[in-house]
Amino acid sequence: MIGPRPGRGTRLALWLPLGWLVATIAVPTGLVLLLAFRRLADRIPPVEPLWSQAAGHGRLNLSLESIVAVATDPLYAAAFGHALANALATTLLCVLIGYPLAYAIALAPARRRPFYLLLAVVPFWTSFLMRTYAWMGLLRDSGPVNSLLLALHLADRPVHLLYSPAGVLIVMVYSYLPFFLLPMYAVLERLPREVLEAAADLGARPFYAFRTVTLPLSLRGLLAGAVLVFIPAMGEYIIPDLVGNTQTILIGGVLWNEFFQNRDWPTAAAIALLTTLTIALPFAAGALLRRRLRAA
Amino acid sequence: MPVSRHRRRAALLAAALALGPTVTLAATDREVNIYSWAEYFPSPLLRKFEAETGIKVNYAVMDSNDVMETTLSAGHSGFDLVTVNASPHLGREIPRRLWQPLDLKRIPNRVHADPVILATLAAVDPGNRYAIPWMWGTTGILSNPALVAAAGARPGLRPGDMVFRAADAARLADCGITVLDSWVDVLPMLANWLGRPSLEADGASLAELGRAFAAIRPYLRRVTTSGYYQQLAHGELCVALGYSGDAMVARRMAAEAGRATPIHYDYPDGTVYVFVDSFAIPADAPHPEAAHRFIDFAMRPENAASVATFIGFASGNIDAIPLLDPELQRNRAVYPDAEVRSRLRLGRVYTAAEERRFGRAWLRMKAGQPVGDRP
Repeated sequence: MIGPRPGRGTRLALWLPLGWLVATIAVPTGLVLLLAFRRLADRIPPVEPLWSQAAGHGRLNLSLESIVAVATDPLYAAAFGHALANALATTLLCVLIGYPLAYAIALAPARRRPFYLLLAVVPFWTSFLMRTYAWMGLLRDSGPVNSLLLALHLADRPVHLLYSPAGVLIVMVYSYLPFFLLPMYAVLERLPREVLEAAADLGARPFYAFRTVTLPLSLRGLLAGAVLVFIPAMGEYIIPDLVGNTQTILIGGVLWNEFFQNRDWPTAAAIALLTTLTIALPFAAGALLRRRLRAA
Repeated sequence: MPVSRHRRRAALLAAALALGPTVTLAATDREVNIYSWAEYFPSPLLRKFEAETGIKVNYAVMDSNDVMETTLSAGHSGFDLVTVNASPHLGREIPRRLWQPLDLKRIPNRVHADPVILATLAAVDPGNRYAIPWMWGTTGILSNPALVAAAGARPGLRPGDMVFRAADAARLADCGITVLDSWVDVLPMLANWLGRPSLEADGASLAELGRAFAAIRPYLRRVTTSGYYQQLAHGELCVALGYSGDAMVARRMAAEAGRATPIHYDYPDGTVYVFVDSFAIPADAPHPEAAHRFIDFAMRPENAASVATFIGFASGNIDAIPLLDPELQRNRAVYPDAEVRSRLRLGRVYTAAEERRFGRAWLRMKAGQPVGDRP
């Protein structure tokens, strides 16, 4: 190890967050994992005991039933597909809107930047639910957005935005945009201007310079922001429930339904497990691939 | 040995932390933990109870019967008194011993419970041992008659046809139809409309329900349990399959918004399904004594009447009704006439396996996937 041995305080400072992570992430995830392999039972709680004694023999009650059922039923696959499409569309729009926005803030005079950033953060001071309800008021048939469309003769009858997939996308992009904007800004702001000036001196037109210099240099921020949007968007439950038309079934809603309506905890846990794996595996593979490439 | 004593104390502390309120509060019934809908016990009533008895009320707001049931079935919830939907939620948890039998000697005001509603409740709680009705209502068809007429609906249209007959639903689709997002309410009504005596979970019955729902699915604006009454009040919907209580809320909202739109509430032909939110005490309630006292207090006719006036649901307390505003007493959407009362029925209690079949079939119906026996 380089440098002096870490002191007591340093070690404590390291163990505390580790303990926190174990208690709040590792333990609950482990419990969900275990639950996915347990069997449903008509008791309280509604699963078979992990260990049962029958005819003098101890028996460990684990099974693959729920995992297999979830993996093979087209209902869950469809719900997963809808959630994936919804999350991808949200991420794409956040990138398309957030990148120019972050770029504009990064290019603004240094003394104005904090103010612009503040504008991006201010909505967080109000509860997420309150903001969603506000959007419901804005989007409804008799709401201000439709009044404006009618007044400008852009529509001759109210457009059903609330309780539609379009409405879900609007509110999703609104809610998740800051999660893309902030990491994107952090990277763009630190890009040395000299590099762009050098590109211009060498005859690159602005768009060419952007494509060959700025974009590759800011790709790391773009990916970080996109992941920060995509992962929570995948499991989003509240926005589709409040703003959507509930006929498009998303995986978050199906999970809720299995847990609370069907009280089938193993199936709910199996959905959570398979969803997590399906999202986490490509990311893990990507990370592994990058490490290989870097090592090579 | 000091070490082992230390260890034991640590274990006891951990146990106390884990069991928390349920253990430490058991000593005296100086409080009661109630878990119920937001408006079922307005705070003046709770203050009155506290002043009379010296028992402090902790009120947890319930947001759905399913979440309530999940909370209680995890064990050690710490709740003493809940208002639970009679069927299926109360009924199916009686055999699982989630509830304790009520000590009726400690609830003299139970004599005021509506005998017709008690008899209906007996279908899931034989002998009325576990529950006392607090509020009840029906599931029916809410509509905005002006919009329905303007959409060109045929005259004399039966309420159930507006939602369930594809040809009629198609005409109303543009001005908007919603149904509750709850198979427990929708599927028995659909089976009733199809002329079936009851809702069954076998493959053929599910397939029939699935085909009937698929025929009307394109005409549904939304499948939802929340917000539809607001849309009705705003004139954004024609028809909704919903709760009688929500019809009252829609009328109030329309009036507050200064709209003259009347909101109709009609009972379907045949069976009229009723929900009964009833007092029940969890088997592991830490303060059952205080819970009994609270039930007795709430069942006093003047107390029940004050809540029924406030929220406009039907009171399960028959002696509270004469104390209500005469106009509310005459309101047939809240207090149906004798003919409709004779058709009131509680949905039957399904087995856990049947429920999961219905639950998943409902998800498939909403998602537009085939249901039941597949060819």
